[in-house]
Amino acid sequence: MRNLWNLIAQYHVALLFIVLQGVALSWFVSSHGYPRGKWVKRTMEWQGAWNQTRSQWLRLGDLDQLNQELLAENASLRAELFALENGNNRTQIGSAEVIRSTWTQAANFFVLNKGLKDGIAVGQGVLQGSYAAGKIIEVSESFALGLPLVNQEIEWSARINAAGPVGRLKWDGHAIDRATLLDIPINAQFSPGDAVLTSGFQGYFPPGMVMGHVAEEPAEFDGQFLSVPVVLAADFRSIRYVEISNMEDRNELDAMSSHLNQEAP
Amino acid sequence: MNNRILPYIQVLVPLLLQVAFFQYATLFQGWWYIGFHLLGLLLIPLQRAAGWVLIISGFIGMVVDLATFEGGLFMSSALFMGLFVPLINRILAPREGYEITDQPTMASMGMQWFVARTWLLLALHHLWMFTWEASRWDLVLIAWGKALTSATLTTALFVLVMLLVQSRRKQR
Repeated sequence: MRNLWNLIAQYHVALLFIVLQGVALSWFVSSHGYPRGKWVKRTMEWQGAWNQTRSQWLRLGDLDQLNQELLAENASLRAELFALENGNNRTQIGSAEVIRSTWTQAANFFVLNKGLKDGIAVGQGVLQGSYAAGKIIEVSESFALGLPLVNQEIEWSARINAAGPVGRLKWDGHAIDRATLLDIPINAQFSPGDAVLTSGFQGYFPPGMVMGHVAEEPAEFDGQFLSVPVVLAADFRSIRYVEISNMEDRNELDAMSSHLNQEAP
Repeated sequence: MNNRILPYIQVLVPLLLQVAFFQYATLFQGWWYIGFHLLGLLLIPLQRAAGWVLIISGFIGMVVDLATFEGGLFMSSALFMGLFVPLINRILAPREGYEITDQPTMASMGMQWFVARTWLLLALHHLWMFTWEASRWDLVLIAWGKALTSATLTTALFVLVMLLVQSRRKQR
């Protein structure tokens, strides 16, 4: 407090000048039309600019919440769409956010911010928008670990077009947006740009989800089958908000197929 | 005259003259504004503390504003001038400093000192006042021209007035 008084005593002339000048200029500005108009205009400009900036900040703050709400709404609408298109409502779709992800390794993975308490379970499919992106392989109370399509240690059941031949989709570990569809019969009819869809056989995804499309490069023939190059639809570099597909009758189907002790292609 | 009353008279008389006679005196189409009340400000004793100089300046300016309905312009300008009074006094101080009996007049400090101090302070006052009055960048050069012209002509007027007053005192 004493320092404050010392400071005021030291600069009392400057402070007195500022106070008296403030009074004089306020009086001047309020009593003269032109300066008053200029002042009002300037003040309105400052106030407008400040309000705009503040509004932008507030919008940015709300954006995350808005994204979550939109994601949940998207998931709900997609589930309804599946039910309408396929005539059943056995596929439930939820939403989650990717909080950790790799795309430069041979065994890439991602971690979601939802777990057992949110209804996430092992074997559920992960969608980016309407594109198949991966599956859940491990779940804790609050988090889930998943493998993306771009993982060399896993194969995915896929078909070309809605009624085309089924093959194994495998990432070769090179380009992040490329994979190869193996075991396609030589007599299969397809052309570049044709959709590569989930077969639904593995139970991770409902059938008909887009995984990618047939690339321009010619398919390779290994003597028995064709290896078809595929451009993946999901963007694994920018993956953040995802949807989780839960096929209700998956456990029942798995139980039946386990009697045969074989996995679907 | 009593030396204790003289400083107050030196401030009040120019102020009264400004309010009564010179408030509408703007000559040469605005190129010479006579701020006669500023003579009183110039004659505030050299030993007066800076804070008091500011308060007296503000008071003088406020009275002129109230009389002329100028709404703060003279008060603001007088305050600006008052802020620089101690600084200009210090810059123009003789090598050995001011004596306790020194007065800010020609008789006491000489014509050169009086003219330099008067012109500098009036120029600061007028530059501030005309700039605020113009309030527009496209008028500011003309405003500064008027300010410097007014400062020069008013300095000459104040020199004349001081010569007249001093000669009368000498006669007395």
